[in-house]
Amino acid sequence: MTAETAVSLLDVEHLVVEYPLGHGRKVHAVSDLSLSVAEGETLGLVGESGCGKSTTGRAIVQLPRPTSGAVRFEGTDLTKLGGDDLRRLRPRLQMIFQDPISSLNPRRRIEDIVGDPLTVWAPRGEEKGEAASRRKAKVAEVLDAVGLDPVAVGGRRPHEFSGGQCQRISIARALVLEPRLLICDEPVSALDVSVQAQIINLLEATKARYGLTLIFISHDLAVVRNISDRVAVMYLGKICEVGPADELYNEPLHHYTAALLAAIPEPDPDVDPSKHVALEGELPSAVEPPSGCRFRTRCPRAEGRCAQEEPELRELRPGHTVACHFPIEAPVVEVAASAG
Amino acid sequence: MSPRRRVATDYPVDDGGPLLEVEDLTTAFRTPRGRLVAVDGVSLTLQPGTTLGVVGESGSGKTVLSRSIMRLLPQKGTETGGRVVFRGRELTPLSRKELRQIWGAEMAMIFQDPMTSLNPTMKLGRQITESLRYHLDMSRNEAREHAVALLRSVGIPTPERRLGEYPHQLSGGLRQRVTIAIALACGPRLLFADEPTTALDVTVQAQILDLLAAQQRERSMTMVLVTHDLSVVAGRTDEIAVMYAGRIVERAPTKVLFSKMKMPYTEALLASLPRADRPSHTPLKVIPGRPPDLVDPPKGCRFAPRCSYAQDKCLAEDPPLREASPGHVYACWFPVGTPAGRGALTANGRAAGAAPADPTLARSSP
Repeated sequence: MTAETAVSLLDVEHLVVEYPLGHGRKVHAVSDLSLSVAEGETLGLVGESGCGKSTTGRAIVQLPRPTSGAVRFEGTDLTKLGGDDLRRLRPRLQMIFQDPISSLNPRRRIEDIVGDPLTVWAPRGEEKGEAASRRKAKVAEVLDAVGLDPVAVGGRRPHEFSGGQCQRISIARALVLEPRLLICDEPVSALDVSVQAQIINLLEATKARYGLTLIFISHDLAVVRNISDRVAVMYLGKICEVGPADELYNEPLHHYTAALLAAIPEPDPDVDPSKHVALEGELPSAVEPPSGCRFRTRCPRAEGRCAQEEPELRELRPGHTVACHFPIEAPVVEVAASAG
Repeated sequence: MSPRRRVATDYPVDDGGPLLEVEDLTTAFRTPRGRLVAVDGVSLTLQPGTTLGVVGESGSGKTVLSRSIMRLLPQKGTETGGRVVFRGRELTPLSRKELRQIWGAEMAMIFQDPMTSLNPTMKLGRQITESLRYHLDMSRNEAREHAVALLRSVGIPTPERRLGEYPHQLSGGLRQRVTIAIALACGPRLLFADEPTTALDVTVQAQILDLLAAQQRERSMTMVLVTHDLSVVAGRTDEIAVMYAGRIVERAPTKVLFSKMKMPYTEALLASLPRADRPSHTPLKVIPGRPPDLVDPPKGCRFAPRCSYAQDKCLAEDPPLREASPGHVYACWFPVGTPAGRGALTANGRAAGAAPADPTLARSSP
């Protein structure tokens, strides 16, 4: 599903998040970022730590409110909404966090953790008994959907569960209000490989069952490719490339994407990892980002122009955009040569 | 190295034998719930200059294994058994004082989180020179020069300036480079790297792993790389030991392990990895359930409750480590790729159809 053919559920336009440091200095966490997410798709957001991917996720749900820019969800600009109107929209956007154990209140029972949103959003005038039985049924339904037995689990507290199970509970809590958009911020990073696969498969199944749209934020490129329809690569507060997942991984256009892909270790002993050209250096400071293209300080292809002129996102292939003056050429020639 | 080396020198002469021999190593902790056997009868041999990868999920005992070998565990509440022989010398009867001559100088360790393994209140210079002054008896100036050279060799820009800085002033990647410099300071023969890149980004991970490999070659050091990620050890080790529930369940030369794995756990671990070279939405093979409670491990094979090959025999009898080929051992009654294994899979396929989605606490759990 691409952005053109489907209605977009979320449009982020020129989003800026800055944190003041005093003395006129500020952290440019997210700078002029635009993206759209189509109804029913999964958008992966990847980048190194400090690139602003989590900040973007939080700015979308207005936690905290972005410095400037628009976040249009179902046509409504969330940045323009006041407290009460925003609160009314919140059930439709839910979030899942990285550390499943610390995102659950240790003193509360699972049925309360999962059922609370229903109590908060109970229709006015609903009778107590009716509300309680509706809540009980809904909690049971979502716990069942995430693969937990409501009867066995409901009365227990978070410390009795493993990390993977706590993440299931977090997903149940996010589902209970029947959201349309689910923002997952590194939901599997704290989990073991075997459990990670369970949660990824669960997210895919839940998405299909509830007709969700997902934004999946992660630093793990392999996980992102597996779950995403489209992928956006971020570097130092900006998007450098957006494209359909498979195309972006097979034929990256941006040098940063290519470097990230080359750094992924492969579970194959015949691949010599030292043969890959590793990206030198580290992420520059977001307080004084490099002029022009922000990646130029580490880019193998950088020229004078990159320091002066900031590259705009351009669409080089259908649905595949890149912000680079000298994008990587598609390896068409190579394919032809090897075929001949 | 330095002729003034203060470390114990009463080792038998190097005779080309193994650097490290571990025999039937067992480590148990006394917990309020009972005796928890974290490492259960592990044996392994390390030849000088090689790299061993130790792979397993959290709670498999891989960290406790490396700490047991170094004897870095608290004495209180810990029971250990078995033998550790390092360069022909048995470490088990050594006192804390004697061990201190070995830690850092002969064996060193790099930990997962550089922020917690560095002292936040001490300048980096002092943290690096501490062991140089202690083990190699260097003067303040000598140690300082040596520290600068070390930091440069691990790829830290402007090392002179870094000596006066505190850990919080460095990024995660640089901090991990500093802990590597500290570990390498006295030229250890054996280096344990316990999840050295788990807290780091992919690009930094690649840099750090390259650095470790380069240093290892340069110093002809022996390395044990402990990780939960099979793809980290695939291209960077000579041999891999897969741990499950406190035991080594398969050990083989790296290429053999990937091409001819015998243990269903190894196969399942590899199949559950999302791969960047596979199309998106490729369904992942899940290992149902989770590792057993080591206070009360299951009877028979410990992986049997989660294993798609498991038969009645697996639930009743503990499989011994058997040899598939020289250097390749595994513990399984119905190994992968054998007629017995295929038979077991077919039998289970007919019985169950498909594995339950998630098992623990799921309604359909047995």
